[in-house]
Amino acid sequence: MLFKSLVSVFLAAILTENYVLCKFLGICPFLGVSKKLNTAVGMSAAVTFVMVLATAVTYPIYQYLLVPNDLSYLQTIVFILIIAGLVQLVEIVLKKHIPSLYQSLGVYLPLITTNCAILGVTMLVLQKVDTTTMFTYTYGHALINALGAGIGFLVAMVMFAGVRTRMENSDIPETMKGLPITLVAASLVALSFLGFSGFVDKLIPLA
Amino acid sequence: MKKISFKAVFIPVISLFIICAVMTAALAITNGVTATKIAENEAQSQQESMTIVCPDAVEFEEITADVLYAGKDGSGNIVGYAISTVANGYGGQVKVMTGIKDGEIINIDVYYNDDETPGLGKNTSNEDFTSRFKGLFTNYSIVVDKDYAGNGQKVDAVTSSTISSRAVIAAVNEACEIYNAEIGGEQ
Amino acid sequence: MAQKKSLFQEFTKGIVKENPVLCLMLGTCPTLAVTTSASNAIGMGVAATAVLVCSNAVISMLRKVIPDKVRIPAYITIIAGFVTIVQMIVKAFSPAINDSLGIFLPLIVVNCIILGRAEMYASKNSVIPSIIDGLGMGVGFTAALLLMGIIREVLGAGTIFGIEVLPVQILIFILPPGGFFVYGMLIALANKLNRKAGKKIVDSPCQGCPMSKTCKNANIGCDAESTDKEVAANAI
Repeated sequence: MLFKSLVSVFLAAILTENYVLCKFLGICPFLGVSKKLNTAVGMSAAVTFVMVLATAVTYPIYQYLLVPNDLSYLQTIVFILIIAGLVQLVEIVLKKHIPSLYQSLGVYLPLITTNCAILGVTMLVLQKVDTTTMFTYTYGHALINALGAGIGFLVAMVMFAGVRTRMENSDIPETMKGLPITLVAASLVALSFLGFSGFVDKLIPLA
Repeated sequence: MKKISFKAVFIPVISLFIICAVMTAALAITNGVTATKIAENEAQSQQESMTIVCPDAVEFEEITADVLYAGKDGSGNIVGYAISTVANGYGGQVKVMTGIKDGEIINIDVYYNDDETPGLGKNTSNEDFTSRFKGLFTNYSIVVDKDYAGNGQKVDAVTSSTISSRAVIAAVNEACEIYNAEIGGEQ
Repeated sequence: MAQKKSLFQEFTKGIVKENPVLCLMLGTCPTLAVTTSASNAIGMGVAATAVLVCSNAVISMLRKVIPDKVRIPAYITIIAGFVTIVQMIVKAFSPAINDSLGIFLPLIVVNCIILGRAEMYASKNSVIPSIIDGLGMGVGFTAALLLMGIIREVLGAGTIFGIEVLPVQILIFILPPGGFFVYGMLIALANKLNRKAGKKIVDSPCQGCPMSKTCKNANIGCDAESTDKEVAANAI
């Protein structure tokens, strides 16, 4: 049962509740860094990593430090500072100890602090309810949700990078060149993700 | 090795610390001012919701905080129960208040579904949908028409919003279970 | 007199010439997410404007005190503080708006318009112009959001501010794909007008982004073409 609910949380975060295409979080990198496939993958990998790490830290701090002390109104300020600090820390550690990984991921890290998808995920997991137990997400659920959100970001970015490569050689009307046609393409990709609604429920019936 | 000067290290740290402290203090003050008002708003919206699902009651007595309330008329007789439950919808939480009397649903009110898609899932709070629950029994579980297999009770889902409709139904079923467990036999 | 005029220009530039949403492509996430109805758009716009004005004022006041090294964390702390204050006020006095904006109210913290104005304007200018700049940018943001909100609400739900105006509803406009589509069309229109007026157009969210310098230095292939003189100079 637990495994089932974890899988369903994971798949829902990727497909039906895709943070980019269904919830509009992290649109800036989605439009800005999706021109080439390799940068799209690098950016998504860094985002996924920081998402999981940030959730791993903010979840216990919120549940066991802020809530018991009636300080939940400090959530926004505490979370954003934790994320900013974590990103710095990861950058320093990678640079010093794993230079090869720093080469491929590190360059994206400074951009991630102000990525709303990260802050969004850390805040949204605290509001969700596990449908099997009717309680808020456990630590495990929260982490899986964050991982799913990151993978969902990756899927959206990679798909969109593919679409944009195709567009490169098309004859586009002058007015639509640049961002307008990119947004229309994003609209079509988002439309395709609407098709997943109800998909996870059907795949893994929880009742 | 570079000499670490006091100025280069401590000034930024101290100024950052002061900014954090001042902002936190400002937040604490604002929280002190607004907290009671926010709590009042929440209590009021809960009260309104309870009155919708249990219209005969003039006051509500708390049985389980934030979950189960007994509605009483002017002379103190119980005229129904209001039960607040939560389920996961398409975008986030869906909160439902269910009014029950003698094992029968009086009415329901979807008092929070703002994370659902506007125009689709959000329509689950329309009376058009919530009135479909009137008169259903707490003893049989309710399912959406799509999942109906010939037993139990069914409710037609809001068009193309099966997930949000299912969430509302799950919350109502939960309320019925709470009612059956806590009140059921006593009446 | 001369100063008055320039203050007025500070105010109007955010509304038309440097509209953060339609010309600088900033704050795309809330632009797409909360414009499902006109009233949501106004709620978001006003909340963001309040944060923008307050944070611009404070950052400009402290611009000589904050050490350069820790300026970004300092700005973020100040902005996050004001966002939470605005959130608590909205919760207390207009819970319905709080509910419908949901997560996007606290997410004003990472709205690039606010950090962008702090970094590009408030940290270099005195208090009064910074407040006016924040106000202008905020009004421009609100106006663009309102425009999108009205278009999406009329076409998608057949209503304006909840009042029915159209008998037919094209639901897709208030769903996510409709958001991308309407935004794309509005930018196409803004680009067309800008081109006619002979102005340079921005074709990626990166150019106005406060992090673009980092991006450029890291050379990760952000879309922005290096037309900007300042960026070009930085690269060398």
